Amino acid sequence: MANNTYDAIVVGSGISGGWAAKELTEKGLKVLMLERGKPIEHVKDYINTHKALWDYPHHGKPSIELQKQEPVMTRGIGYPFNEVTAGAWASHQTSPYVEKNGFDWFRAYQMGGRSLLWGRQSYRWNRQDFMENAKDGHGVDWPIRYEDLESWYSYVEKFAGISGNADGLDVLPDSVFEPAMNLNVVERDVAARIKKHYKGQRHMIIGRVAHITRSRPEQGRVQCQYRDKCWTGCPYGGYFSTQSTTLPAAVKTGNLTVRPFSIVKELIYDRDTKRVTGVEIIDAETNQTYTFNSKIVFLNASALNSAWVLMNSATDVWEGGLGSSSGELGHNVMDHHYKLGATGDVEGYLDSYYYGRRPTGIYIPRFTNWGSDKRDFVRGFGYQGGATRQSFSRNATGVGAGLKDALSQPGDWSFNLVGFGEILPDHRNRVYLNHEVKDAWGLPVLEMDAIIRDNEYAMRKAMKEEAVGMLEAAGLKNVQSWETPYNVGMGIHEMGTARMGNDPKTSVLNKHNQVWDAPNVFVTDGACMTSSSCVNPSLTYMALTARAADFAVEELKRGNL
Amino acid sequence: MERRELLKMIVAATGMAMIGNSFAWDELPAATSFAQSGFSKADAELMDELFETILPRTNTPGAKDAGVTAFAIGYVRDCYLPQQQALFEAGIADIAERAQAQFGKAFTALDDATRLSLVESLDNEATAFNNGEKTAWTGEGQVENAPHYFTLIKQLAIFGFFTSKVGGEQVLRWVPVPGKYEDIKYTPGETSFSNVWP
Repeated sequence: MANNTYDAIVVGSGISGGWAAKELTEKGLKVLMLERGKPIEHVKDYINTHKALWDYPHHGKPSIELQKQEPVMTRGIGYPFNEVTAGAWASHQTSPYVEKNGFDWFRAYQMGGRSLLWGRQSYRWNRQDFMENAKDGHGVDWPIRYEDLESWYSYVEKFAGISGNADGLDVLPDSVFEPAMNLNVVERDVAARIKKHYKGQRHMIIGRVAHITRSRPEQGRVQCQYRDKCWTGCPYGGYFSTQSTTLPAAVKTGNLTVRPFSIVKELIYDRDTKRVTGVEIIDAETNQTYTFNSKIVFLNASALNSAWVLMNSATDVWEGGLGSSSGELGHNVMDHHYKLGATGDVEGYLDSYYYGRRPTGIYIPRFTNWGSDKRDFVRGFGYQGGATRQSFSRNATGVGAGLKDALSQPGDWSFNLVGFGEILPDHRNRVYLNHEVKDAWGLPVLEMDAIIRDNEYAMRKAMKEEAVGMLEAAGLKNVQSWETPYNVGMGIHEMGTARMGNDPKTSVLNKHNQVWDAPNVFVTDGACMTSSSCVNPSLTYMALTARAADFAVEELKRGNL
Repeated sequence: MERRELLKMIVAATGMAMIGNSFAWDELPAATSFAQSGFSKADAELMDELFETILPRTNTPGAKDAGVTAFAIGYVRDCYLPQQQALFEAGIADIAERAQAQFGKAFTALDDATRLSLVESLDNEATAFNNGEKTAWTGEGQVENAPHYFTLIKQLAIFGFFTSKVGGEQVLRWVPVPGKYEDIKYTPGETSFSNVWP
């Protein structure tokens, strides 16, 4: 290598890393993007994308052998662990972690990260979300408000492509939308009944997703084809991923260098200038160590791994690592608690069916502790779900031609709702380094100690009751709530481990996502989150990243970094 | 991005070209075959007739056409826990014995109507057993709380059949690239669309 020096280094290539690379390169910076895993080339490397279930050895179900290889991930059997996604989630064998309390961690160690494996639900936070901590005293106040992020939401939405309806709800501000996907006939009727029953205070809308519903030749993307095989990678570029959307833009500038198989071991901190001068990496294939230098670093390694990198950096100055002077690094782990809801049978509509595999469903935005609604818990939850006709996997009596005919046809309609609730920031919920256990590269691993507590449990009770109440209000029959055990992390929305704040004594990052103790380090993935809202978080990471990148370049120009 | 461009960038960063597997998604090993499975030819022949009786060829293909036996053998060996495998094997043996005891013939040698009536009685028995009733099958020696073996067999037949290429394409409707999502009219008798997640 002739030169190991860049203007900026971006650690991670997922949703926020891809945005950082795009924004910084488009603003003229020479950027090195480091990805710890394999390179994945758009379209060409999506080896499962044209497969049907019958093309998998066990028609998609994970074998016992596969489960033995990944005993921790097996807890996510069905969703999100199966033969279709096998290999795409990081292996516990090479990258273990330690669970003080049960913690589910689904990581994607490859180019594009979880942008290839995300749920794609995309919602803006509302004005109140940014003020909740200040209002009820949990965690610390956000150093920014909705107004600080509003234009950045619009900016990233236009480029990423978010389909949805302008529903005009304060609780769920509208994005800049692509045309929405369709509700089906049952969902439309249930939505109307809920609206009527709750006098316009509750809303069932089409889920807003990062799919384009009109082709964008300028981005090389074709509109969503309703295959519902997003987790195999989309050869059409129908949904937002690093590969489909941000990476091509960054590459086009000629300013991007990508280095896969690069595990960032630590940020190199200069105590005289109080700046980071670059990063040290281990080549995942050769175990060789390399140093790369840059003026600024964007840490986008995913919430827990960005905290890991900080904890492993500048330990000669701060024992707990860079950003630990606040006492909050690694603390306040949040996620969205779920794995509960309700189902009900829909009578009739047997002359209706649907064509296509819609990669979203309905969404019911938060209604608790909103407006005049008051509860015995703080904050709120939303629901995803939808109406479908039963498939062949339903109870059916008999054998023979009658059974085959019956199961060949769609069954009755049913409706399901799955709740997703806000988790409070709590100092006791934390991740920290465990030096006893090492990964395949001899690096210390993370240990997780995070649980849900009284507020979440009280909320979970309401999440089931309200789901049942709404389905019953909509006239469904045999409505039943359900719940299965939830570990923190299973929402795959982990966040909060290096929170933003107004005070360096109680937060790791300032209002521009700069590490208080090293202002040329920006953390813009889930780690930066000061609270968790109850909506899916990735869109907010995109907006925060674009905003921070803009600020970073201006600060560079001003000579402040 | 063109692979060439990607390689160029990687070369720029590492001084060397990337070689080797660059897939995130794994190519999985094939399922255990009949030859590797330890099931006898007689077992496989019985399964063939059993699955075909549960899901027969009508005006559309049946279990034999769909190769359900080969799938089931791989699935039992690879995806069942040892206790479930034992239950499945005990079930196959029990069906063979019942045919002999009731009709003095191998299950495979029964005429279609007799075979259907035997399998129907098993289906009814499984329902009764799973409801806690006392049945001919006592479940002795099997894992606690397990269903009747026939429930396992029936579920396997249904999953294997409707997720097979023949079942998914010729019995159900397979649309690889729908292009849209919309309401459609449904007339009883029309088949379901195949799905993409197990």
